[in-house]
Amino acid sequence: MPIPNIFLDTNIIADCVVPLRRAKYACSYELVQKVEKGQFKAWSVDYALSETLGILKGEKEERIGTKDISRETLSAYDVTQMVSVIDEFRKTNNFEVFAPEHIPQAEIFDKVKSICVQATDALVLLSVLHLKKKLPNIVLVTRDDKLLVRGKKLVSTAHPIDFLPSCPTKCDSKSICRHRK
Amino acid sequence: MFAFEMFQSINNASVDAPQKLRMITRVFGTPYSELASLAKEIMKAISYPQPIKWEYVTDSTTGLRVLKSEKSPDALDNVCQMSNELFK
Repeated sequence: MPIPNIFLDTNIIADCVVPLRRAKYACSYELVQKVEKGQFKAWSVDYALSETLGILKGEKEERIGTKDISRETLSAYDVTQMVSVIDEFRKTNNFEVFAPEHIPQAEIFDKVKSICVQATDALVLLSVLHLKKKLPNIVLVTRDDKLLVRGKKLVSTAHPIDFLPSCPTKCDSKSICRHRK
Repeated sequence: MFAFEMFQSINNASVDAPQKLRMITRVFGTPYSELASLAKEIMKAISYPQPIKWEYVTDSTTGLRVLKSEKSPDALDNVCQMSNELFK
């Protein structure tokens, strides 16, 4: 039986690399652990890694209280550390980052217009559509409720919990999550 | 203090260019420059390894262009350790 192919949205990768999010959205991390064990083959795009690096920088700035200061505040050492975290995530077994074919900006505009998602989500969706040509059964995994519903018009979508028998016991948002099981 | 005095001396209009050059050259032979090079060595020692260069290769099974990366069974554990350290 072939291994199921899944596409990891930025929020799933960010949930794995930011400690607070790892505790708050434990299902994302548990799913990626399954990827590492070979139960799934996971894909993403370099754009999602760039977005994750942006999230890491934002979280770090918030942590040290410099989020609203409009000048360079993070040290080169901090930034190198963050890049190393992303580089290390890329080494996860059964996880590949692919380069989609050129996506014209007009297509992004068209997707935002037709399915009413953020431009960044449209870019992700168009990348998944590109991957779908090679892997017809690809499933976009995201925690973004709007993308879960609206993206379904173009590709199969799923929440990380859909791949787990039940919520992780140590999940901080278990009591408030609408996807809990 | 030393740097301030040095700055003043070098900017003194009565000092000609070759003399200024000699003064600057003298400073770079002092313990101050030694300290600076030592600090650089320490920084290098505690710094993280250079980020991996992004390079694409063609995946033989799908024909897709994928980012080249050496896989590691400890990758996720390392991610946790490194990010915990970053946010501690």
